[in-house]
Amino acid sequence: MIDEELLQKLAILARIKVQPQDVPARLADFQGILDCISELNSIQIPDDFQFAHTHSNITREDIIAQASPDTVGRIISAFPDSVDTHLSVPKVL
Amino acid sequence: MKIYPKTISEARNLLKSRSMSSVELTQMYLDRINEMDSQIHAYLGVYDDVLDQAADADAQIRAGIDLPLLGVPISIKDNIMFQGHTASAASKILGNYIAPYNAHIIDELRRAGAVLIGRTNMDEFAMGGSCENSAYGPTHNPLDISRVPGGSSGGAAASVTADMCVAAIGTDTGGSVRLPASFCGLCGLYPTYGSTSRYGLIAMGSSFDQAGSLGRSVDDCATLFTVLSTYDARDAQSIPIANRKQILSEVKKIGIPRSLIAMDGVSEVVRSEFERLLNELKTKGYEIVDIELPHITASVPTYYIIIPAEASTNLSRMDGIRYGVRAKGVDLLDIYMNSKGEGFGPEVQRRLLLGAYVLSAGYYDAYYGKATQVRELIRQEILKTFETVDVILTPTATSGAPLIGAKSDPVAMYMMDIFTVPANLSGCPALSVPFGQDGSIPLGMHMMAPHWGENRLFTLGRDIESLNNQ
Repeated sequence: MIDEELLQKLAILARIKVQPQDVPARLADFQGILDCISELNSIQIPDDFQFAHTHSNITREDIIAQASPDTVGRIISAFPDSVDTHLSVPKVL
Repeated sequence: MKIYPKTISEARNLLKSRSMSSVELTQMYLDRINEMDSQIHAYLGVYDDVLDQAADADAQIRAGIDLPLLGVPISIKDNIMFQGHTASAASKILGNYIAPYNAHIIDELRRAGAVLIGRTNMDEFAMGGSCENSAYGPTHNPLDISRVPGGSSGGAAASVTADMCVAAIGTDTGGSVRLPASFCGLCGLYPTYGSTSRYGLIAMGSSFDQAGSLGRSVDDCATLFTVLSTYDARDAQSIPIANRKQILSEVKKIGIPRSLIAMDGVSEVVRSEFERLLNELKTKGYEIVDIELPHITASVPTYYIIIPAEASTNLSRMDGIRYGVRAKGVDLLDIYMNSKGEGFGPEVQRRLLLGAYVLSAGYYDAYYGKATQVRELIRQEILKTFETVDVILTPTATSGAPLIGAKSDPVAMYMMDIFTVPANLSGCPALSVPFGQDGSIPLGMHMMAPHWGENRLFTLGRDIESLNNQ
């Protein structure tokens, strides 16, 4: 089931502003499409099926690596402009 | 009364015999566009240099040069880059976008001498099967203006059927050339994936997109295929000539996937005309056999998971910063969201939201991952079937052209693609050829061959064409 909260979350992911007056129609359409594509759930893929092109899940947890103070300093010194430990760029918007 | 050439070879004969110059022929079509297009709306614009192109072609004809499309006016779908001209993909967000370079296929058309007459209407970003989703208003079917011409290359098909050019170039991601061909009484080809370059096409579903051709005859599709199907290193999926298989053009055995034709939503007229065709083909000596493709009925759901995923990736650049008309906003996210919210129409927004859903962390395996597996299952079933039959034959669409506004439910619209998407899922070439009528509305029959089997399609297509003309 899709609800308005999930729709708004998707709208942010897709970077699309969904106008409040469009929400009911979007929800109805979306649910109809989900019902249609959910048909694939009934298909069993044989365990031994040989895939020529298989996509694995590409999402993963972020791993925060520790950089040495020396590395940070070298990056900052190589940049045209900086403020303390931040890189500085011209304002464009 | 003006008589318009119906095929590329008719137009070439007129030009070669000097019965007419390319400038005169092009002017005749421009007059026709001025006279007719306010009712049809096939074109979003006529190229301002079209008569210069025609004059160049005349100079070449006078110099004795002979090229396959020399002097022939051809229309171009609005998602194909022609340098210095608008290419908007029928979207408001690209309304002011001028192509900075030529698509590879534009270079090939120009090299073959074609006169590019104008850019044709389409469903926005090629998302749709009726040509009602254009930001600039729908195209009407020239055979009955209360009906759709099919989509997404609806303007391309209408431009040919309404005698506003000789032939047209469209793009096909799930049936976008073949459905309009069926609804407008034309032939339409989706070539083997990798045979034509996608360089300079505004991308929708990159693993499906190919440029396709629309014309009044199978021979026109064959001519355009020969011109367009060259290798291009700028498209990573373009297949080098040496790696293209040679497939015999002979067709003896035709496979019929009965489970697909038996699906709900296929009209009785379509079924009966299809059976009539099978009987006529038997009389001509073809062997007709039923085939089993166990998962082919899942083609549409599979397609409508993968396509939004690919489209949401491809269209992410249309954010008002990198590409597209920029809306106002208080911060960067606001600019992105307003630009897309104001710039994209409802169907594009629907598919981008769906793309975000099927690619999001919690749903990726259940939807996108599963769909890519089922796609491979369907692909392998189709390729295995071609070990026993030469061609797979079905109708092209579930019905004749619907009335404008009749398919307001997106799922009902998607189900119109049931016969066409298997070719895109498997990368196999497919051709729609007119056969039969539903009242005054033409129907199309759809044949699919193994990779590089275009000549088989042309062989069978010419036979169906002659049966339809009897």
